[in-house]
Amino acid sequence: MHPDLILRIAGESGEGVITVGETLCRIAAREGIHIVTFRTFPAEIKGGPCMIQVRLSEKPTPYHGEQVDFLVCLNQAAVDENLPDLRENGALLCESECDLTAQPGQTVYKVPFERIATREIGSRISKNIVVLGTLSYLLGLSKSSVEGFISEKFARKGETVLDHNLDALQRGRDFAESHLPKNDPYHFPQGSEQKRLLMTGNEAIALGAAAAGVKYFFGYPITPASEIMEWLAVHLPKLGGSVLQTEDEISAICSVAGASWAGGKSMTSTSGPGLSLMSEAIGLLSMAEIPAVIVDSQRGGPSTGLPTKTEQSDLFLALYGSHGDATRVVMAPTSVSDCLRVTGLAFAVAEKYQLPVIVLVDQATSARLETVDAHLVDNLPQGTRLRAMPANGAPYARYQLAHSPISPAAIPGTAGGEHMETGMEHDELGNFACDDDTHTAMTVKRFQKLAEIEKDSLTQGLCTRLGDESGEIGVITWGSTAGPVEEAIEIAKGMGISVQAIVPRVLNPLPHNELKAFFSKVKRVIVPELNFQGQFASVLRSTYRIPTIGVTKIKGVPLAPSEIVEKIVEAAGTTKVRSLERYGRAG
Amino acid sequence: MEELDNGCEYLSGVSPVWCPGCGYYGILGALVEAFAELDLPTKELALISGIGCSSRLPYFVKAYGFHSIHGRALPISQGVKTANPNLTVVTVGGDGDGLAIGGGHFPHVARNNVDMTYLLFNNAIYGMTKGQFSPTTTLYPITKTSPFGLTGDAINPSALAIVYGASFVARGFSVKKEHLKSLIVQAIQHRGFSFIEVLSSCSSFNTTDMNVARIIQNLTVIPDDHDTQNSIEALKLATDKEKIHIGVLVRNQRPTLGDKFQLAQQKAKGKGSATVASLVRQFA
Repeated sequence: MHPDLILRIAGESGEGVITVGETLCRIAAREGIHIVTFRTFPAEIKGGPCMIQVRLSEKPTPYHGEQVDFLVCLNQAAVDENLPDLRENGALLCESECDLTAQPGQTVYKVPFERIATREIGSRISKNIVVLGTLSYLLGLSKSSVEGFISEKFARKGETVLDHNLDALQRGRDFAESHLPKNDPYHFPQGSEQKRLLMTGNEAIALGAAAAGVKYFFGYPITPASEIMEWLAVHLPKLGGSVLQTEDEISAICSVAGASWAGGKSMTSTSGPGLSLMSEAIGLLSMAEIPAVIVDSQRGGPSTGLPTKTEQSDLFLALYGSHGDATRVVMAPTSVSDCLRVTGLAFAVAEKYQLPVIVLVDQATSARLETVDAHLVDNLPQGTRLRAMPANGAPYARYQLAHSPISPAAIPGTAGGEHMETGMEHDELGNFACDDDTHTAMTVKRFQKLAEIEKDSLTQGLCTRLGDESGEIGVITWGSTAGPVEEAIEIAKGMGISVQAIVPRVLNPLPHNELKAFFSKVKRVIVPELNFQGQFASVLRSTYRIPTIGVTKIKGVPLAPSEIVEKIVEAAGTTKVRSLERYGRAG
Repeated sequence: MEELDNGCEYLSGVSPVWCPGCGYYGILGALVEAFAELDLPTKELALISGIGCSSRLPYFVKAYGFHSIHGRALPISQGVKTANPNLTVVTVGGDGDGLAIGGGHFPHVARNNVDMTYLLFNNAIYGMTKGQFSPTTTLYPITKTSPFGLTGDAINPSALAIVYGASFVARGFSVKKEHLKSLIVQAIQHRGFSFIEVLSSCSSFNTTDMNVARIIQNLTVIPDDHDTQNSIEALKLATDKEKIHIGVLVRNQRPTLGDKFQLAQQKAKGKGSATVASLVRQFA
């Protein structure tokens, strides 16, 4: 028996495919199983192919898995699209009608789901619950845990609906029991006592913001970030905060600037097109020294691009967007758990240093369901802004030039703190001053913040180190590509190649000491990332003057570990590695 | 600086950068006199602007000032009022700032009924960039960027504010300082979004559109019996081609954005107050 199970359910959007996957996730989370998922979305509102892949494991795992153990297909198109990803001894559960040629080692279970739902139950929409019944039986999931969950879920909808669903569930199980002898090695993994939280990346960001004390959220709907605003719209008012949908992203970021200047912890979330629109205001936040947290859930391509697909191609925009020498901090979480942690950290840094912090997440992480340790929420740093206590009579210097680049802020309403907050170059009092000395001194002040952030205890220990510390092949990546990298290193290890990796969470300012030490130890630097230009690799080359080996991909889905392993093997410069196929499963 | 009847305590001491003869001196005077009449504490006064000649005004006033970016003073003000409802929020800006680059925000702060006052200084020209046409330029068609005539018709700011549903709309004239002061006082006292279009001549680049002599000749003060609840009548006055009507065009009461936020909090808490810990439990 495997310690983990990679399950994929595929069909037509609207058939309840995602519901089946999510239901299994919720049951598993209650049983203490670790979960990572990946799902695709059609660009259409109704219809189109969709799938959810769920990796269930006894130990935490960083990635949703490459080859599928157990595949469920609700129609022919799903079989055609997904069967190539089924492992050589994998199992397929599909609609009876489907036409397919399985490999010799694969097990195929055919069930007339459509007929059971329409003829026996008399309701086509219950088909997915029949699927759940059959699937849960085949995976050895206890009847009571599935029934218990379904009862809870449908209790609110009344007895008729509940009975209907329990009937569908039972018929699915019955069919499996009487017609499908178990012929594959895959089972639901063993659980543990430790119940886990289950949430998406977007929910983790919203919860992390709430836990960090966000008071005001302004935003404009955009795929794939909207759920952050939607969650906060429901819950933030309960905590005494407010959410406003603005007329555009420019209004959102400017409202954030106003609310933050007036003393409230404020944020916005968006995707690439919105971040482009916010660029000018990011310069204002930098210049006027106003804290703000800006979440960018990256999607594919420039312009409208690929709205429902994942990419990591906003790095240049996040690092450099906005004219002039504009400061900002850029952070990138690697997983759903990390979304919680990094969002909390973003507020701490923004408030302490009075500048904008951009959190770069991506569509795959935003939408991915993952199990999260509940204690993470308790340990989030609470950022506080250094407040000015203006002395009677003395003029208050909003932009004081002192040893520290952090000037105490007088929040409007504070007696004696009247000042100009301004995007124009200014002197210490905030009066406009365009002379060269002032501009130089103030620019240095603003950039000194980045130097201090790099050394601040808040940002220490934020690099994930993976693999073998003596490995001569180095991999450096950012954001959610950390997952496939972790798995790739394990595969490479199995092939006899020693690799070490580093994943910084703060991309500006980069953790120079840790990165320099890393680069000095490795002979090759491989940089996997989801964009065409190799944006992170380009930053590393120009910052550290090192050669890099890029692994880039713009197919709208995460990198697969095997794609990274390929480059590792190439970089290792040896053909004496054992077959990749044998080590297709890692961790 | 013109003579002030009072309000000197609201001047920051920074000298205005405006040209001699600029109408904005009069507006600044009316503004600080209005502050004085209302006896507003400077610590609770937030003066927010975008970019342009008029947007320099916050530097000259003792208050919490915010000189931001072109066209964005309104959403910034919306944020300020949201986070700090005790502040008196006054936004100042020009016709280019508010109706060209920032024109997309105007209808939304109006419909949100943010409790703030917006003074649009309408001089019908881009002064700070030295003489290009603005969205309100009409009678002075040949500018640096319209050498062969204007490419579009003028926007009427007061009429726009009325159709956007602003809950207080008024028009004033920089030369009529006492009248303007009274409008500003009423606008600040109004609970909700209050808008004042202030006609003002640009002494350097367009003395035609807001020609003082012509405006004075055609000026008529809106009579007390004008029904400020009647937006159709208000629109007739705002768009009159014969006369320039100054005074309060529209005044009505409706819930503000702050009221809506409070209502949302009450409704949300009605389902049971929450803590972060209780929010975490929904993921279990």
